[in-house]
Amino acid sequence: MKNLITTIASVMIMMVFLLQFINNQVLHNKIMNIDRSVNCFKEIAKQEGRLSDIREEELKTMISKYVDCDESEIAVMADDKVRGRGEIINLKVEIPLKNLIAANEVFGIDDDSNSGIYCCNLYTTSEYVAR
Amino acid sequence: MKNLVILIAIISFGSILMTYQIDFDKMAQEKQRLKFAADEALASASLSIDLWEYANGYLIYDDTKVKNKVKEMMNKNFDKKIFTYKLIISDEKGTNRNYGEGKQDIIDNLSPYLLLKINIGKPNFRCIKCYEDIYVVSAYENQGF
Repeated sequence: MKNLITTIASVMIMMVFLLQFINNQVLHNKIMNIDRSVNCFKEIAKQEGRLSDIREEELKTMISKYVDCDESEIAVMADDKVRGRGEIINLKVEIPLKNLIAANEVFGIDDDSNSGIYCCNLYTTSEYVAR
Repeated sequence: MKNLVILIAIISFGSILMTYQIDFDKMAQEKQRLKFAADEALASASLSIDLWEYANGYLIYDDTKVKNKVKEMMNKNFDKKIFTYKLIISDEKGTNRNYGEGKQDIIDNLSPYLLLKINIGKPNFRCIKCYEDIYVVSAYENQGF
């Protein structure tokens, strides 16, 4: 009986690590996908001189597919002003990442504390020629 | 006592495994960001051409501006400030110009191009030792605008 209890306890501790291991991999994939999406839209901003509202919506839709969050929670900070050839464009995106620790209830962490904001801040030089 | 030893063993094993995983994930993210930053630095630098020569029909890069732009964009887009770079500028001036440290082969079958190799040194692994440097090579072929 004593052995059984010890085994169950050990398996439970192992499960915490296993769950966190899986969760880390999921988070990693999310971050890689966010980076790729933002970089993709940075290239669009480079060609068009700015990130228009339609493009911002497209970016939000794309990111919300990878990350389990609503489109309204994603903040895209881009200049409205059209930048000409050679000028620098800044694109900043903030995405909330939830469920950072897998078994948060076990450690007594509530859902609100178990989240963070991933910030992607990229600069590009405009290639837009206004003609 | 036996239980305690098993418990410590489980926690140590789990921690080592997770540290290993996080380190590798971090390295993968760093590599991807470095590639994006290097591509962007070159694309931005390729705009620095000699407009007077361009008007005469030659595409010639302004070396100083190219170098400064590469450094500026790398500092803006990449967190790690310490890196070594090798920049090869090939245009219609006739000769290839090399800047920076390291070795990198040139490309023969491209038209005017910029080639950049960025090396950020060894990754910071906590569990194992890594002997390989992290580096990326980016090329930008300029076909005029």
